[in-house]
Amino acid sequence: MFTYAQGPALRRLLESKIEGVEIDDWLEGWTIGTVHTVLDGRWPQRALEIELGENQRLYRKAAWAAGCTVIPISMGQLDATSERFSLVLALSFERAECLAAVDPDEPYRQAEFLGKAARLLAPGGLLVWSYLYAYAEDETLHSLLEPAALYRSMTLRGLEPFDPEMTAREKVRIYHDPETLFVNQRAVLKDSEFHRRIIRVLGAVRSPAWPTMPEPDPIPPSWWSGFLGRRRS
Amino acid sequence: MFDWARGSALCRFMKARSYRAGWNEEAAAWLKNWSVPWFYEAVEFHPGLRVLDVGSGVPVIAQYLHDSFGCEMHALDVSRERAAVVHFGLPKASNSQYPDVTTHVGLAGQDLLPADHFDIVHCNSVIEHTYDSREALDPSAPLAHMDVLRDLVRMVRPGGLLLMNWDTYLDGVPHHLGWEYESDFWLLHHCGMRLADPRRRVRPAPYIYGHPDTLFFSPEAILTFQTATHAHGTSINAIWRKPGGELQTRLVPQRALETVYFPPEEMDWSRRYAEDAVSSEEIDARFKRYIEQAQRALSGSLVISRQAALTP
Repeated sequence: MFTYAQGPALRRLLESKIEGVEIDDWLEGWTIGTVHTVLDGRWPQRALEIELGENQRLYRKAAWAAGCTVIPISMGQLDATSERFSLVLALSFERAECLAAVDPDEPYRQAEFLGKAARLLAPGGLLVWSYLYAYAEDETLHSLLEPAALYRSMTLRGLEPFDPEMTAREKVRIYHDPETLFVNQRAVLKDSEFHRRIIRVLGAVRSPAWPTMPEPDPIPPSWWSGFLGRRRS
Repeated sequence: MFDWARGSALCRFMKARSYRAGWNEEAAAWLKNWSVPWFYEAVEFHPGLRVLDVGSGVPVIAQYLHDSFGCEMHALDVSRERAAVVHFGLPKASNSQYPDVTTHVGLAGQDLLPADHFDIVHCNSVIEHTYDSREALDPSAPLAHMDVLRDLVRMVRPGGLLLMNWDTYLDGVPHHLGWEYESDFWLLHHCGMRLADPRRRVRPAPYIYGHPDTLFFSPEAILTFQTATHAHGTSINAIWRKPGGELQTRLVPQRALETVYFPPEEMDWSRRYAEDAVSSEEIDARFKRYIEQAQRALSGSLVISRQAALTP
């Protein structure tokens, strides 16, 4: 599943009165509503959340209400984590990547980060990410890996689209889509001297589930197991 | 210098009777009637310049540059039998038919030719074919075109020029995963290359896509792919200069064509680079660093195997 903030979608989310959905500068409300819709109220027992920045995470309330334990970790702890999760959230990760000054020595951190997050998925687990993508203006501004290409780098390496009908759309099409919502200029100009067009994208992929193993044929009880069974009872 | 296929520029090349500017059916379908004259009017070729045409195919352009300007011409390509696409590659009889062109059999990215050797390296309609014979994301070599770029730059001598063309599908990028001219521009810039004349603005893909002067590939060219993702392909040209030496030629020698290369509405007169002396070795090392990083970030399966999960 690949999607991006669009006006009609945000309006529908607002009308659904999902907690945390609001019109904000950075389109965070759209992210919260979209995550809510993706999960459809079916939170797993445990979810991993890669914490980036210090924003309010209103979807956590929904997770707690559904009995889900959200385990927050920082980006730096990803390598040290060995537990596998059926839900991994990496939301608004531009806080660490997109809007920070791009480190010319680390242009692929974004892809590397998502790859690390995907390795923490249990079979059948879901990874949801969202981030801001800034369109480049000249050769000195790094346009991070195109959102569609980043999404496809995940599916080509074995992850399955969460909703195959919502396929990746190229950045040029998103730019010219009349329904696309761009980040508010007030928000952009606060952090950057460039007047950039910035969109918010969201991707969701699933780790393939292991094939179910056929049940082994029942072994006829031996006299010995029968004897033990009688004794235990 | 930077430009993309524009109708107004093509008209000017045709009026000036520039080499290959015209309505040749095959050339026009892929906008070669724009990209080829753009390069040959942008640079003053003269005797003594050592020029390499990478991905030359039949080396007619190399022969033209030798015959017209007396340049020392070299061509690099795979042999026709080994080419991934029919009619690509150097034909067997190239040496006898084009005796003034020194041919080298191989691929860019294989470091076959000496470093810092050519005054001009010309690479037109080549980089998009890096992935012709395999999936765009090859787990053993993700973003393989970066290695091609590195080798092209390696062969240019300090002060020399890289004449680079991208045939790109503005709304079909995922076909060539991670390959787009914008990120290539960033890579070249951050590795130390500089646009030969920075005053011309570099325009991003959405701008070019929506510009009314933009030419797209013809329907017959697009439909050879039989896929909807190639609906809007266009041609992008740039001339890069390797720092650390004197430029051995002039740019845009014909004054009459100056406004083609520097249209007032596309200019930013404040754009200039600080002249930083980056050595060839440093440029190559930067490329290698980025390539390593891309491999680390994008290679390998992301799915945990059953066996790995059971192993403590």
